[in-house]
Amino acid sequence: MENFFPAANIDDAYHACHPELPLEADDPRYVSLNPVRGGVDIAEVVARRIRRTKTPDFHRQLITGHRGSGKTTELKQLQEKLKQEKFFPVYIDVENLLDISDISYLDILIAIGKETFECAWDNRIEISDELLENLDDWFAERILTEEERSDVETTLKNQFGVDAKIPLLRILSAISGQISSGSSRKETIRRTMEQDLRVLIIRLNDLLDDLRLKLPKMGWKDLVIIIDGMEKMHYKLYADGQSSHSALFVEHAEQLKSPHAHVIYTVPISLHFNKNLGDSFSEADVIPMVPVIENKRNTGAAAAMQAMQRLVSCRIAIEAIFEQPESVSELIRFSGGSVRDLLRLIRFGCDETDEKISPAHIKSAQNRMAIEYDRLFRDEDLELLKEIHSTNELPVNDTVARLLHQRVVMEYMDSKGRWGTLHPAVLQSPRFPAALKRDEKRAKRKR
Amino acid sequence: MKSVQSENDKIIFSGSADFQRLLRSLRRARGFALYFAVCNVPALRERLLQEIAARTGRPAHSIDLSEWSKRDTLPDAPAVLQSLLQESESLPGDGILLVSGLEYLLPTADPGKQHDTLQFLNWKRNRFKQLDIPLLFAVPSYLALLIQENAPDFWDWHSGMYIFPAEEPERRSMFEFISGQASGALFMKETAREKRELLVLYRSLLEEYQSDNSREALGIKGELNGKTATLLYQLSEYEKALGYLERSLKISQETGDKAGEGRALNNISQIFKARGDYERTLHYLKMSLKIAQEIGDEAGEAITMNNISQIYQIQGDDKKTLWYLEESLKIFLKTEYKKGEGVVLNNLGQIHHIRGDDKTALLYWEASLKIAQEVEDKAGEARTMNNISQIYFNQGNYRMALGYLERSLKISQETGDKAGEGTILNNIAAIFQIGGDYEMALRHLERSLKISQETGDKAEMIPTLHNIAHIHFQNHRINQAMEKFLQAFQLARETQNVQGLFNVSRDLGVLLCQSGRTEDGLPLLRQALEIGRASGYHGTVEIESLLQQYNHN
Repeated sequence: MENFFPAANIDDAYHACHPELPLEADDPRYVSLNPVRGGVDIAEVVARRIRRTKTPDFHRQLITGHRGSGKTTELKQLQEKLKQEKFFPVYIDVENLLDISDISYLDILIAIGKETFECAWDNRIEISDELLENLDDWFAERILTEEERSDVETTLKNQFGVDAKIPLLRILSAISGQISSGSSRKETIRRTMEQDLRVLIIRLNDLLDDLRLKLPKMGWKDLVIIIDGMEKMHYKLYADGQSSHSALFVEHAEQLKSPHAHVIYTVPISLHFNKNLGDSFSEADVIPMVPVIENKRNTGAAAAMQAMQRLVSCRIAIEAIFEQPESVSELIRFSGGSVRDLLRLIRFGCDETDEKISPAHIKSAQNRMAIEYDRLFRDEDLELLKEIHSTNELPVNDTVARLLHQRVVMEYMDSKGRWGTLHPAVLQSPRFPAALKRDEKRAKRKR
Repeated sequence: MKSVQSENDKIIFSGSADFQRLLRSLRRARGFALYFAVCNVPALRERLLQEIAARTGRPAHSIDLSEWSKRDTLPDAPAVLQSLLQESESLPGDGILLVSGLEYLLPTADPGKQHDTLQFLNWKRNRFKQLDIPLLFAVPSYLALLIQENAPDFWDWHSGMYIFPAEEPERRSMFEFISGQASGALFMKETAREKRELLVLYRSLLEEYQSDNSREALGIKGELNGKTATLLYQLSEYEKALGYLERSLKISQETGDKAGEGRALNNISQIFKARGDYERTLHYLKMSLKIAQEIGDEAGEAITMNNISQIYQIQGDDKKTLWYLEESLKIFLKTEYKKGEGVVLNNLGQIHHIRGDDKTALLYWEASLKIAQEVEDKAGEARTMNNISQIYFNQGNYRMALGYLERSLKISQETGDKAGEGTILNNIAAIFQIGGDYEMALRHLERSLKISQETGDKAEMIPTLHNIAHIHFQNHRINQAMEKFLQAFQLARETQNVQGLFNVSRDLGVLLCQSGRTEDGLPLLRQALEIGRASGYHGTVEIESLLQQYNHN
């Protein structure tokens, strides 16, 4: 890890504010925003729940959060915390494994199997050969053709160099590979697996159980699997009113909860509004946006602002980069609490100059973001937007879900529950102020 | 593509604040960073990337994905990323990648592919990080919005969106280029890919004019919407075409462009015709006719009446068919519009042929052919020769029939009339089929199929697949026959091509019943019957007796 000091010139400042890198757990730039989010401290709470769940039960829950709120960074914090408490965390980023066009619970179960065993292997935890062979035989018989089996042998030999003692991995790699490539075999494979689902789950769990038995010998208490990235699932509404999101997490919740391990899934924010979710998963924590908005409802604004200020000053030396230090507060407010938007705003500011960022540059940066957000809402949304702007209440419907998804509407939490506002960039967009003005004029005329 | 003059470019870009910002960003970026440059004019996008490559002081590689689309295997997003990764490896650590042509991975006319690319971008965004150098996409504005809305996680990584609006001269020159390619004949010869390229162009130009509601801009928008609709129609994207036609109609109505309104109504009717909704087709045609008569557009009047006649012909109302054709002919003769006269004579030939009066049909067709040759209406010439060949075919004079077909084929190929070429190949195949030479027949049918696939003409693929299926059946290759029938069936369903559904359900149903699989065949026959009754097709009565026949067994 390169040594990192707060950037003292504008080129370094640009570099310090990249929107696409989550921070590793030990990164000195990490500032915990949990105390000010108004939600729960994910790492604390989830670790506690897991700790308190005694065998034979398992803790299974969902985590959701707005895009760019720092979710992945928080999950990495969770991983660290779990390690500290001696839980063996397996972190799976579905991006690396799954096929893109449609996700089935089968893909997820396979991904869990593959990653967990690879992780165990990397950590020199031995897994029962017999159980592996059982599962292997089952796959080989039911799923793969002879040709495929030999193909896989060759590939793995090339990859690992030796006759791997992990026949299961062999098969799983083959399946994962096939599923990732989206071959037409995928459908046949899936159908077969579905028919034999019970058997698949039993064999998979036999192996997980075996692994969990071996963990204490290596000093671990138990296994925790974190599956990140599911929230990037494409949102589609089906004819029967279900969404692609609910079709997976609500309808197939049982299958998703079937692995014998503590499991945490990240899910899209839209699921949060699904009434049936509570039946499937007892806990669904939200990582809310940092509530920097100053209004009557928000009592946490000052603390939130401070935390975000710290976040910025960990990355850049404010007086060296900004002509006026208050500019940072302005940008934080304008970001609505979205870390990514804040970083992007700072980059916009850097775009304007080779020296220091002036108040005029700040205005320019804000304007650019306002133009971007203007494109994201439709004329028909204006009424709803005005309503949210004045009441700070968030109705539960598909339009709000879409607007939340796009960050046009921001959601926050406090002890009283959830509330919302419009993203500050929307308030400055070309269309919204005009709509507000029209209302004012109309109100004046009525009088 | 007309390219914009270089003098103007330097002024345009140097004075653009966003250009300066983009340069600054690119100079500073370390490791992976994602940027979007939004510009609706293709030539300007090109220049922009060139200027950037020259001015950042970093080694730059430019990749134009539209070049990929000309290759045999169309690119998909993973392949493109692979290629980008390779490019990035050949660049030094401070290199940058400039990419244009992303719209080819996100084609509007291919929603499946569009969806796959969006999913890939959103889901596999981490792979892009492996590039480890800055990546700039130059895109038209509708594409940026598409990504913003549908791949929001990918979009959320961007470090900047830089906008380069087209100046009036560029907009104009882009529109002139498009207008220059005016006639409908153009659209018959383009490959599907070329059509999609044009669609992208039209769309970008429409974007440029979006907020411009001057009279002139409205006129341009109306025309663009109409052209887009025609292309989409050719690609069998009826729903989308309808949307554009409705917009075009609205604009014509707003600007009081009666002629445009009449045209749009006529074109809308053809969409309903393809869907088999003949009632609505007639409704729109009659509205179009009314307007044509109102404004004294005699050509429009005659054309619409001709189109109306075709509907009545499909429904088997010979009397009305003849009436409309004769009225249409009167006007064409009066206005001395030879080409129109030729078309109607051809259709008159057709109706007499259907009624079994080949003698009269031949007379009409020969007259039509003469006119087509006079006015050098190549398409008409090929079409009529194709029709004449049918008469000789019916008489059993296969040599003469083949002769006419081959002449017709030659013309179609010369003029690049792909649609015509496909039909003629089908007819030639039929002759070989009759002669028992299934091999040759199949070869011609497969050529025809290939052409339809290239031009994206799904409607034409249906009878071709149908005929291929028949040959397989005759060769006792039942499974292959079934496969082709099913393909035809699916296409017919997909494109809502009712005529196709009718034909295929009927023939497949008969096939199955004949093979003893009445449980499968009868439902299909019943479906054909339903369709036939609802749409008033010729030949529906025969199905009733077929049903009776097979039900008894």
